[in-house]
Amino acid sequence: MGFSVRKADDKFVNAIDDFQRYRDKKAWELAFRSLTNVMNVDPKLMAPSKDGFMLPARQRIMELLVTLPPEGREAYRLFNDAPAKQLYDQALAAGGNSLADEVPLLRKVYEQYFITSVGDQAADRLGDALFESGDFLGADATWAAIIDRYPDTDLNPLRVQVKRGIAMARAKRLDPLNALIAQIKEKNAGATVTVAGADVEATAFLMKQIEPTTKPAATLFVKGDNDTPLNLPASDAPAWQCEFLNREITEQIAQRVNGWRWQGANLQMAFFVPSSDTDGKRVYVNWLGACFAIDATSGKLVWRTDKFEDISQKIDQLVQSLPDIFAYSTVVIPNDRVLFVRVPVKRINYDEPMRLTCHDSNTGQQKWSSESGTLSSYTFLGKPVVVGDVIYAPGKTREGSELMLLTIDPANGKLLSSMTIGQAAAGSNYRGNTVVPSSNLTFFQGKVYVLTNNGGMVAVNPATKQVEWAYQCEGPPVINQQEWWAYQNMAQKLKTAGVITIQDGMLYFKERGVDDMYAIDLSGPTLKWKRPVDDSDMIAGVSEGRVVTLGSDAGAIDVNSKALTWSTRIPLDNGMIYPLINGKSLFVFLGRGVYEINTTNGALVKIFRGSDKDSMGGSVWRAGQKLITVSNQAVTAYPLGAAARAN
Amino acid sequence: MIKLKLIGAAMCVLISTGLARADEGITVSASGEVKSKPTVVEIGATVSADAELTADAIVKYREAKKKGVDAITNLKMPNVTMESNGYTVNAAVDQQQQMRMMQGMGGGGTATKQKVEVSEQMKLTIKDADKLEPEKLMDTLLKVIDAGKDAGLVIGPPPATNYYEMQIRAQSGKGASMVLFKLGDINALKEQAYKQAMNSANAKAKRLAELAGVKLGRVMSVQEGQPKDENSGQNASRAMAYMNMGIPFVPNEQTDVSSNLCGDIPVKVVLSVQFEIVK
Repeated sequence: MGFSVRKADDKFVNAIDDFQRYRDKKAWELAFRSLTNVMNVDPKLMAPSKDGFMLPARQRIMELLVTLPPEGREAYRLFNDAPAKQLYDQALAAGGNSLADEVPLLRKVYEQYFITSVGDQAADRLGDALFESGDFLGADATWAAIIDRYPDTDLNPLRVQVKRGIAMARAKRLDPLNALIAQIKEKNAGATVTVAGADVEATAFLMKQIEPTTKPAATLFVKGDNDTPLNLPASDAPAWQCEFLNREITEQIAQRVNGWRWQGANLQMAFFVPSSDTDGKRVYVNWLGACFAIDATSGKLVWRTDKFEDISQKIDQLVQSLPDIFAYSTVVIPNDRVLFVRVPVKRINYDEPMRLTCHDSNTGQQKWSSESGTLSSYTFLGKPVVVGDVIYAPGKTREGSELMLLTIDPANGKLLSSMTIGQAAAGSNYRGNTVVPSSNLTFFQGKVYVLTNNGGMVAVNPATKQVEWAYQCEGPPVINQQEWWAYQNMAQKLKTAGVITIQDGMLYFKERGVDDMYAIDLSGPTLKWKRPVDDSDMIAGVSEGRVVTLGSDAGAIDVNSKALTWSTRIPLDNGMIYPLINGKSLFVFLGRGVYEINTTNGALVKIFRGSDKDSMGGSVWRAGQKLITVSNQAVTAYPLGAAARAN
Repeated sequence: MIKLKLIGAAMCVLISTGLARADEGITVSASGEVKSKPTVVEIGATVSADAELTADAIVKYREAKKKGVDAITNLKMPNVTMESNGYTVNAAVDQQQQMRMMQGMGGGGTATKQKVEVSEQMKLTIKDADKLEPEKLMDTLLKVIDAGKDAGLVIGPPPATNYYEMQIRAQSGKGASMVLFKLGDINALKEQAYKQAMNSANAKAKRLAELAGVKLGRVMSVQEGQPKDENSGQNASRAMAYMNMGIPFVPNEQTDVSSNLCGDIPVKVVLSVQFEIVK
């Protein structure tokens, strides 16, 4: 049993069952009456839909109403047209004030009264509002509902389809857009619509919306320019190298882990690859809570928050508290600031939670910290994302297991809001503290997508503070105290990071320690496919219609057929690797060097040995004209190959 | 009847004479040893792939093998060859789950899905190693090992996945070595070793005869003993050695002698020779 969301109660489920039963018997009055008591269900509650999705209960109601046959719809309009129109008029009146006031009311009409006489108009207007706010997927879904589920609409279907096509183009959903164009050609060849006062041929207009792109696929680990082809350096000689590893500390960590016989669970802590980020001027590194900045030009240490030796006094506490090594994070934010998720070295003890600290990127001076103030009661569960002038961060209360999305003011670290996403399946560590795996966040077109690494993917609308949908799946095993003894005397399985990536309107995700990968069509949402992979695999990115994976083998999975198209064995020693996709090449930093692999056929193009010998590999990224590698022992910068400089 | 009695009496005389001979004479034990540079170097390599979907396991295995073979071929070393014993298809074992079961623990948090493993053991052979200078041989070896590792081959035995496996390997004394140095055809060397052993036996026996004040006669019997070192012809110890190298082992090989060390490899023989005392 993994991650779960707040579910609607049995009363709701029974009401839905009753509705379906009466609907099938065409007992309309009884059917609508069964829904009466649940129409105003708490919008935060979720109800199961198909394929493992959980949808807001109100949306579930809408899904059911559209399944009514024509006579059922007529009966529904008889009872509900009046309140629907009243609510719609309220929405229009509110729209005179602001879009933000109009949208919630429109959404209510759309969810509760879609099949009434004003439902299509409300949906169309809602689609316009969502499009204007940048939620192209939401707009697409809303207009699609009119075409697919409102057969007697008075709206011009061609016009709605064209608007839908524009939303698809903005959302980069090119395959569905091409299908839409073909459909329009078949049914309405040569038809025109009015756009910006001019009559245009519908299909030609939509075809112009498709931007030709040679851009490489999205990858979560891009730093800086990823459009210019990247050529590995010709020489192993670095531009600079900063060795930070304190071997004594890592030996002590390994001794403690081996002494406790927890090798099977957390030996990766002894080969910890620090998280890092850059603003082009400096490279910021977070090594087990001791953070520092290196000048990107000279490689000199600019500042640090703690001496590495300070950790050696607290090895026992650090090991026994068993922090989630994937929770340590570094994020550069605007206004010369940098965020770290860490246990501050001076506070390492058996129970200290992960904190969020904000520092001046020029001097390292701490600006604020979650050690005090409105954030002090939270444990931070992974890398935050910065959107505009807010920070979204995953977290939980100290001993709680509810996963929360925290909205924070980056200027002063004040908690602006918090919302519960769901209930994690929590374990406990050796100290008896509640343990929840760190989450991954990504922001895309107005929504925050949360990969729980606990058996769930959740889409949150931060503006409305609503969970828009949740997908529940089998999560990794939950570690509990008694399980520690079960990891004795065994090698730890490679643990790579959980990853979400979004490309062409499709969301691909794979949780940490789980042996399934998923592809979700965000326009539904619907599950496009699920397929088994190795539990040590991670998603490196999407390139040319293939999901590129990385684990003991690098591989590529076709996004349509889900077949494994190629596989290349790589000598992976450490799961804390963060690769880079540039053009048709995958770059991954391993113990034997930086491997360049062709993402089309898996051919090993080149191995760049570099000068970070005897490391376990780690992150590779590009900053300007330099290739930066961050391993478990050093940060190294190399001048890029000649062709890249010429470009 | 008389004929039978005569034959029987003659047999008794012959047998008693033979019995008397077993106790007579001088018996000495002598050994001969000849050293030679290894002529062949063998490196074990494993290609394996596992996946829940059989199609994935096949793709991974084929690609890993192709890339491994291509990497070695592209070295363009004519004296380096690659052989295979064929592939196996098994149910992959989750090492952590196996360890938990061995320790009497439960199977783990969740049920492990059954995976298919396709595995193939290969042998990389460097021939004419005796014709290379030691430094050049080392360079060649390291190039081959590097190319194999870069291509994702597991060179030598796969790393131990748990403490018990490490203990077993340590006890066999062959845990860490990746490479086996061998003498190809040892017949000529054995011939020399035999000569040495016989000469040594002769010399010993003569000396003993002098000391005993008797005259040494002809050789009555020769027996070959087992040299007491790891380069014996015993199949069991060779099998263990090969297994620890990750090299496919063919039992009953009588003609090869091997070592982990890159140096002269001894070929030893031990003879027990009985000489007649001339009266």
